[in-house]
Amino acid sequence: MKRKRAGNDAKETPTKRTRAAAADDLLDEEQEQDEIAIQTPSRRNRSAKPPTISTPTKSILNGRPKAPTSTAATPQSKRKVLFETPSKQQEELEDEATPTTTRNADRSARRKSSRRLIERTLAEDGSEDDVSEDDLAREILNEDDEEEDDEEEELVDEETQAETGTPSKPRRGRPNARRRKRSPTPPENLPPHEQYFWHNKPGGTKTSDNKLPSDALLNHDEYFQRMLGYVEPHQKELDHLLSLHARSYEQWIFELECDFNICLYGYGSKRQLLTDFASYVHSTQDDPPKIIITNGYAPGITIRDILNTIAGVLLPKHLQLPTQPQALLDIIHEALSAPVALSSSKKRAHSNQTARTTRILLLINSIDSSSLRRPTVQSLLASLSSHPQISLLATADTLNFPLLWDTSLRSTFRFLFHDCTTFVPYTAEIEVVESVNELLGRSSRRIGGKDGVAFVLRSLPANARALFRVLVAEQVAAAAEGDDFGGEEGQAGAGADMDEDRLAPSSSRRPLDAGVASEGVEYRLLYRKAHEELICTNENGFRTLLKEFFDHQMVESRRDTLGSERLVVPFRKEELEGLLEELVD
Amino acid sequence: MDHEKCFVFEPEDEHPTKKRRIGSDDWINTWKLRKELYEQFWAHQRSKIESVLNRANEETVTKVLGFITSSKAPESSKLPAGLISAGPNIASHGALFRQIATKLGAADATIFVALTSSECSNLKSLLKSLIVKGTTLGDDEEDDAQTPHRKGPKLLNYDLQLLHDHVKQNAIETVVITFQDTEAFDGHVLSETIELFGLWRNRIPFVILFGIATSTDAFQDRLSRSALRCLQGKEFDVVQTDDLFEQVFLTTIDGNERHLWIGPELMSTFLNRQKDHAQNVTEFIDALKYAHMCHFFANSVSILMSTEAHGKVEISRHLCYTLRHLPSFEVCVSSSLNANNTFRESRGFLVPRPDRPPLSMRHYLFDDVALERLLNDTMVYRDTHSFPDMVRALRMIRVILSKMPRYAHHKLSALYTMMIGGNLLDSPMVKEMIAFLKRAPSNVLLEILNDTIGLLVLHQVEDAYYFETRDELQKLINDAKATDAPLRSAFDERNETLRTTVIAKKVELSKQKATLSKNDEAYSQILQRFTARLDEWLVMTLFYPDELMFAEVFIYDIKSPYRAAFSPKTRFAVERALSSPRDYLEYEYDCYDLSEEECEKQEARDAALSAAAPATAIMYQLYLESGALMNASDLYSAYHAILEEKTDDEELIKALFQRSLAELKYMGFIKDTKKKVDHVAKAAWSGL
Repeated sequence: MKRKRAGNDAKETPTKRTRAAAADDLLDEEQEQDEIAIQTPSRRNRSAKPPTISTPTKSILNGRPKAPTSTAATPQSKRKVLFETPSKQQEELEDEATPTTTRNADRSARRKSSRRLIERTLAEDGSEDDVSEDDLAREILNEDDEEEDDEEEELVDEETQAETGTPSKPRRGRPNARRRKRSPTPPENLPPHEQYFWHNKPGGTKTSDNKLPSDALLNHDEYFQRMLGYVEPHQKELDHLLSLHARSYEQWIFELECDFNICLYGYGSKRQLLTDFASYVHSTQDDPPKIIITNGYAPGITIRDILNTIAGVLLPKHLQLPTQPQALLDIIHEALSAPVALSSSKKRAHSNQTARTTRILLLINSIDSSSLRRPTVQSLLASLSSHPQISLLATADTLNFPLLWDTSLRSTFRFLFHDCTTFVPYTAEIEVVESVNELLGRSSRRIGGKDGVAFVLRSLPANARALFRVLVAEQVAAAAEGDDFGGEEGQAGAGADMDEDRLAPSSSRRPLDAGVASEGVEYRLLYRKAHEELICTNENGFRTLLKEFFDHQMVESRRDTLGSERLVVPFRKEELEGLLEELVD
Repeated sequence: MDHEKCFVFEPEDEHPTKKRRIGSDDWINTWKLRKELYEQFWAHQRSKIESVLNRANEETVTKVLGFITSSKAPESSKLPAGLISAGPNIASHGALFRQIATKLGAADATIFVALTSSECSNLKSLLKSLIVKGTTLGDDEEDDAQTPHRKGPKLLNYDLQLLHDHVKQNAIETVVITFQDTEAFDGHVLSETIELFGLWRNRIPFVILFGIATSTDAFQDRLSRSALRCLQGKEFDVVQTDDLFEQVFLTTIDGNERHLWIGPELMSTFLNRQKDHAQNVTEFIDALKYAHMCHFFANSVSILMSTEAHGKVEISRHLCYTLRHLPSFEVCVSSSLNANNTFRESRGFLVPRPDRPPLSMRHYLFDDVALERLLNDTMVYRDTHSFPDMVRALRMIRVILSKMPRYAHHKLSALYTMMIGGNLLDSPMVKEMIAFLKRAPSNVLLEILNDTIGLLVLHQVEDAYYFETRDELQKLINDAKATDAPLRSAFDERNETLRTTVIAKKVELSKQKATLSKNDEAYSQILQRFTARLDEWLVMTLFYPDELMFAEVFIYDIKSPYRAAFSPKTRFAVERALSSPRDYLEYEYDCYDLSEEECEKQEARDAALSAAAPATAIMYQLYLESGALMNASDLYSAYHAILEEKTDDEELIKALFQRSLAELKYMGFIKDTKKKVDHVAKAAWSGL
């Protein structure tokens, strides 16, 4: 009975199937390929199993007396929530009816066409023709989709009239599934935790494979040149904000006097605010405290720098200071509590009056900067600020800075928090270009990128330059070879697709050029080449030359799967090519 | 200067002109005075609180010291160990151990070494720091201590022999070692240390103190058996935070001196925070201090808190104007207008002095002198009568409640919060209390009376009634001693019987009072009088702050500064600034052709996404809309599309793009990822 029904369906489908296949052959969207690759095999397996279980409840729910013939496929539709409509079974059977060979052919055709599409999208300077072709392709595809839908509806209408009479609007399974799965935007107004899970759901969010062209990012010079004359669009409002914060100065002074310390948070650089506050304190107070400003964001700052500066204020210059921060801190505390003992006897009378009341106002920009983030540093700062004669006003920029302090540390700090949103850009705090390059994994974090390499090379002897040229040339050649090797059409990324199809059809696609310059050149090979080109005569010399590169982080050493050492110039392909050109010139 | 690590601030011009201080003249003029007031009031409160705190720890400290002295003689080979259960709040451990340290420092021939977990990651570093601290801190001749006079090979700096030499040299009798944060130490390190100390016990007189935040059982579990065998422990309990908190709170409201009162809102915020987060008395003290600071800093009428206000602080016209516009004064005036144009005697708070008959409303509204006198009289009366009575009433309620099983653990601070919020008198709790009193047997009443008299003595209030009642009751009890059972009140359930009667086939339940004995009858009368008097007194004494004239002068009840300063929403502030920059900056943006309503709805989003928004805010909006991974190229094109409206300068857009990305990274919104080329990973989800 079931078979018979399948046969009916099969009879019905061919027209549609061929038409769809033809459309597919012509053009397709990139996702299509995935969908099919991922879904069809499993579906085929499933439908190959004899569908035995029937669920009568289902038919009751659907509100129609189901013909016994039609119950066969119900379990499947149960398993896949997406395909609940009764017409689903037809789809299943249709698929089965389609010969596998046709299907495979479809698929490869689809893949090709989709690949072509991807390439077009990626290519920056696609010619006019290409673009129009693509557009045309898309248009046809969309049209086709619609047509398909329409046709389906018609078909289904007929069907429903003929045999089922289902009120629900049946749809073809595949396009439906595709549409749901793709849903590019998350549902709006999700509560925060739901949002998190939405973003981190297994399978991950799909992002495009677009690459940022290398000229999209400015280098140091360009950036600073551009930003030099730039005036913030809201300068007036920013100034107003600052003046609002300035009204709190008196309050802050009072709070600091009351043995509290202050922590300012909120978006925007608070450097200017702090300096302003310093000058306000200095000029309005009758007996201004010693004001020490610390820039926590300064790279390589240590707690010793801060303690030394304070000690420099409190203690005579010639005194030998201990190297241990804790010991230094003890001395500072001691000096503050008993200034008389440490100052010379001549000054005693004088210091009795002034030094006893030495107060220190310590202003720290970005107390949560990466160099001050270590727990030991924070606890030292805490015990430093807990001294009644030391007042601390710190600013914090990161999101989760309160996590720096546990309860005991926090009670030592005695912080009062104030929101000081300034909207002032973090010009001093961030090395913008460096930071973005690092963020995107660009090479310029090493000695200023390509330009830096060129600079270093200029100062190196000729044979070192030659060696580097060989290395870069080899790496570029190897990368190009790797691309050629795998791709059906000699295009980058094709290899990856092949692998995927063969190995794990359902796994997500790798980035198109995951292998950019990651392979490098084998050590022995490079040595041989260098030897051939008379760059060096023995391995010792070769090593000496390489060491220079390592020192400047122009070369990295990696081990491949076989365990042999490979030398890699850590740059992107385009940069390598540019570098090579320069070197050859 | 921007990139220097650390420097001493020098003003740019050599002789800077004095800058004008920010603030109105009036504010600056009175601020000095109010600051003095703040210092005076807070110093008073602080000294009271400190004495309570010291008293609280003192007991434990004395016990611990006694323990240390007693363990000087090494009668057993085991290590004497004091286990100080100081409660879950690690922040308060420090104070306790400092107290012990200062007390011990005074004692001769004792070395005190405090070890913290951070310097003792393993046995070697523990011993090193122990020896360094032990050999230098003990005496003043540091240089001598560094070079032990010893023959033989040079010892390694973690050899306890060094300490032993030092002990012998200086005839040290005890070496006290404290592990303040025991929980933070590695269990193995601790066990090994103890075993090692056990081996040296016959040469170095160790005494170990452990600060324990969890429980002694948990501590024991972490040590090895052989280590446990070396120890001879003694447990010391520290006053628990809850009790300490109540004590501290009571002292802050107690006393006849004028002080600042905390209003209901703020007080309940304090209590909730105390209960849910802090568990820490110092936190409460800080909060109280901050309330004082806020009151005197920002409230211009706080100057009238001055106890010498009369005469010394000249109440200016301006201040009189302010006083007349205080909401509480206005309420009093309008309510008094309904009552013969004079001030209503509101629950005994405004007892006019016999020599000064109450004046008509008009006087206070127009005569500054009269107003000043009124203010002064009320303030003085409150200091001497209303407030102390109120505190006494609270304590009395507390005493009676403690006899009721249901409310036995009700805290005074909670009672105070209800009272100052005006909810106590009408609360079911107080009604139940009165009902309970009515049924109370004689032994309970006697206890209550005794406690009340104790309170009276404490508060130095004379009220003969309670003494008389007690004597009367005592006499009655003595008379009835034959029965030995306590006397029962007429309302006592035991004096009632349920009776079922069947009348015309209907069952009726009726209560019937048993006939009371003569003694019981007499007792019931005493009890009734007592209850009625108490009820009346409570109504008189417990006030409702809204009814208090000039409440603004001495009640502080604004919770937002406290909240902002102590439990800030730091992350939310950043997110808000970026997601709706117009909360901070006023700028115009293009509103599309939407209806006004829709426009408002969309406002925040659009404002943030319009080209007029700050560059980083635009980026943040894009960041909000993307998933866990962001494609930098797509991000750039989206960013570009928005900024295009404003500028044609491609370079500028690039620069701003870079800056925005860098800022987001700096603040910790995004991070780099290796998952995909040219991608950025989200590091924070808004609202989480």
